[in-house]
Amino acid sequence: MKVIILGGCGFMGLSLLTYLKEQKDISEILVTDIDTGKLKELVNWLNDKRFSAKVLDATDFNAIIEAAKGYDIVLNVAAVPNKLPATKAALAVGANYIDSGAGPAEGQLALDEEFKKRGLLGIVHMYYSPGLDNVLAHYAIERLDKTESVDFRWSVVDIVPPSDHSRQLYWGLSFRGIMLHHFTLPSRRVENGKILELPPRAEPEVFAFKGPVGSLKVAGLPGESLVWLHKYYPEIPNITYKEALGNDILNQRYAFLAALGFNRTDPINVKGQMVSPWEVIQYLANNQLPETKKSPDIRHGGGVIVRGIKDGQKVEYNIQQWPSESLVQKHKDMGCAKFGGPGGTFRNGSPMGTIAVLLARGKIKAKGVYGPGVVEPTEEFIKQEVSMGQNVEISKTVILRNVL
Amino acid sequence: MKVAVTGASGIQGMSAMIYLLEQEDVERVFVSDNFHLERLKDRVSRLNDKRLVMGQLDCSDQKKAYEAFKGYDVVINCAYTPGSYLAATKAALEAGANYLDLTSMGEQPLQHQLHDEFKKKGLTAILDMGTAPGLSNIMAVYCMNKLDKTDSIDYYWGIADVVAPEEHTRPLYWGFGFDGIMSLIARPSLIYEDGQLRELEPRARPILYRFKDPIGDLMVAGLPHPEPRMLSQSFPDAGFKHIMFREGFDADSSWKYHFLRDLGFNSNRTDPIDVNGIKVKPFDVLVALLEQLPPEGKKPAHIISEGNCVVQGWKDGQRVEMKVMIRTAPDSEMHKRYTSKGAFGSYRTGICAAMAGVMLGRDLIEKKGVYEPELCVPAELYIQEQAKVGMEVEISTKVTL
Repeated sequence: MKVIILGGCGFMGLSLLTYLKEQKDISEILVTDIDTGKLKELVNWLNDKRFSAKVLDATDFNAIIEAAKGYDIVLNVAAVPNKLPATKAALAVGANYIDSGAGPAEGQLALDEEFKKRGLLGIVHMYYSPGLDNVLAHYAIERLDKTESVDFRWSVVDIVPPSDHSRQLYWGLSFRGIMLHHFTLPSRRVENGKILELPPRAEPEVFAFKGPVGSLKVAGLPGESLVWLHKYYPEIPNITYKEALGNDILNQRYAFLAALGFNRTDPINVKGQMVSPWEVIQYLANNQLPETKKSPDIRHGGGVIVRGIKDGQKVEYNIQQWPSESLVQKHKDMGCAKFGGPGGTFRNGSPMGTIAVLLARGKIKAKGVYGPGVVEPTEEFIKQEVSMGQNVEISKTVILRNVL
Repeated sequence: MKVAVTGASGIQGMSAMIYLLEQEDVERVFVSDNFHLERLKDRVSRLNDKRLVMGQLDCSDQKKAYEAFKGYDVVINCAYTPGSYLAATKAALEAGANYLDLTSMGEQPLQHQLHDEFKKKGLTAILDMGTAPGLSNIMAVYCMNKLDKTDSIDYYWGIADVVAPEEHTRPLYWGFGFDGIMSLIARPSLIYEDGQLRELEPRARPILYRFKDPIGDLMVAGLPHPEPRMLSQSFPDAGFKHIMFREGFDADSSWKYHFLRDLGFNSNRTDPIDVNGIKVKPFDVLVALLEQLPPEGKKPAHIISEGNCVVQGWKDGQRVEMKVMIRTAPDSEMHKRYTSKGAFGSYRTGICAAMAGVMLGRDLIEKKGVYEPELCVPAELYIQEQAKVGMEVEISTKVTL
């Protein structure tokens, strides 16, 4: 199978490339990006003759068509919100399409019939969350007669204590995402089948994650995973999404900056000049003095708790996924931090790799365009993730009635 | 006596005014400011005392200040006029008034050059006469006067909001000038040790210190406070082994100040950053945001300030440790009295200044010329007056056998 990757030099592209490098099913990988220098350096570092490079703008419809001819899958991990041109280009050249989301998907979903007509599959917003956690939820939902609630719990955490750093702020995904999205936009919850909006980071609680993350405070987010699940499973009455964005101290720091108003993008008057507070904090965060103590070790993991009924009994599934220490060490030994930044969240690209492999093996039969957690064969998906170094723990609890 | 107060629209000017009006022998108080005159007018009308006279005055203008100070016995300079404190000092001298200020921001050597002229006219100028420096210096002298020899002077100062952060909606409070805090914690700590003044890293030598309830335990650490320099220079033959000033804040405020400092928001950072072609100082952006915060929706801060001066030395051949603790007691009658009249924030510095001003007016300060507080203010009398006004004062002595 031949794969073309858009935005391959970004941090998500890195994990996708290292993932695909291990797949014998993939015969050719064209890595594209607009960053010429980094592209060359990255492909050289991969040191695998199946990889080639091309400079390409992931929003340039015509250029993508030209580059993607003859490829079977377009994997789009470019950090651009508008992924419609790339989706249309994949359709035009007859390639399947998977992306990591980060923008509105209505235009892409509207291509469903055209993808079906051409016998192609498109899955959008397919990374960790949304993406992988939706697949985990689907795994449990398939095994229940009726699903009553789904609770997404995710973590992106530096497991090195803040006191071991000299720098004040680290982030797993993007500082912009944390400040302008996570700590600014309303949290969401589905209650009795309706989406409710709550204040940012609402309803904190402690959740016990597996692996080195451990027990942490989680709180509400806009939760795209929740929105996708509600779209495809409107019959599920209650859905929550909560995430740990760091240890308690880091959370406090982000919450404090947001409370001061540094998530404001509108300019304010500062001694006669109009300045955006967000741009000031972004500058300072990106120009912190170099770390003089310990580097961060950012891990992420989490999963879903799904409750429902099976054969008349109450059942609860708790499915957690987190990278194994051997996978973490492998990435350290490979020197992924050089390209992937301080975050272990570069591993976000791996679920797309899993989809590509399942497609290559003919394991996904569906055609059309979908959000995550709908058409993936969940058991195969999980097995493939495990084979690539992820830990997955699935526990099923049957709640017996108290007859006394 | 007649007293002129400059910078009277500020926190310190406000409390100085209140203290002065509580003194029966104060016949007139001229309160002035160059800005915020509406606020000053409000205060004057709120205090409703016929001894109060108000006016606009730029006290950095020596000529105008001289005209305003004529006929007054004491000038208490609470104004913020970097680079121009000498002008107000000279104006007071020329007008025949005693003078004191809370700080002159580095102009002290220039003010000291007027020593002989102040002495000739039978006048006194007291420099840096606030809480710290000011009261703090006098606390040390109080103890030193009771010892044969002083080895060390340690200050443990705490300024804490005793309301839990979750009971506020506002994310940040401060007990004294925010720009002052954000400058002090970023600059090297000052210490006098082994016969010399030294600079250590910012917030050096942190220790946990137990303050009186409800403050409790606070982490206090070094600051560039001037007491080590002032005391070692004022008493060069005392043989001090060690002088250090440590201060701490409540845990929530402390992590927030230090976090902002480490991100680059300290107020003495002079290099602007370039944000899309606009050069701006991060601290100015922070202040602009703070000014736009919505009003407190839950409980306002209740800030308590406690100062401890611990002096170790010798008396009659025995090792002695003396401690003077002075604080604005929570829910004290003094606090209620002052806040009901309009005092707010870290108002006790104004009281400390006015207290020394009244002593000047009563001719209780014998030395004439230009001095630091530790060299001219009678310590015993001053500490007693602190208790009289309603501060909580505790003096303890420990003898090591």
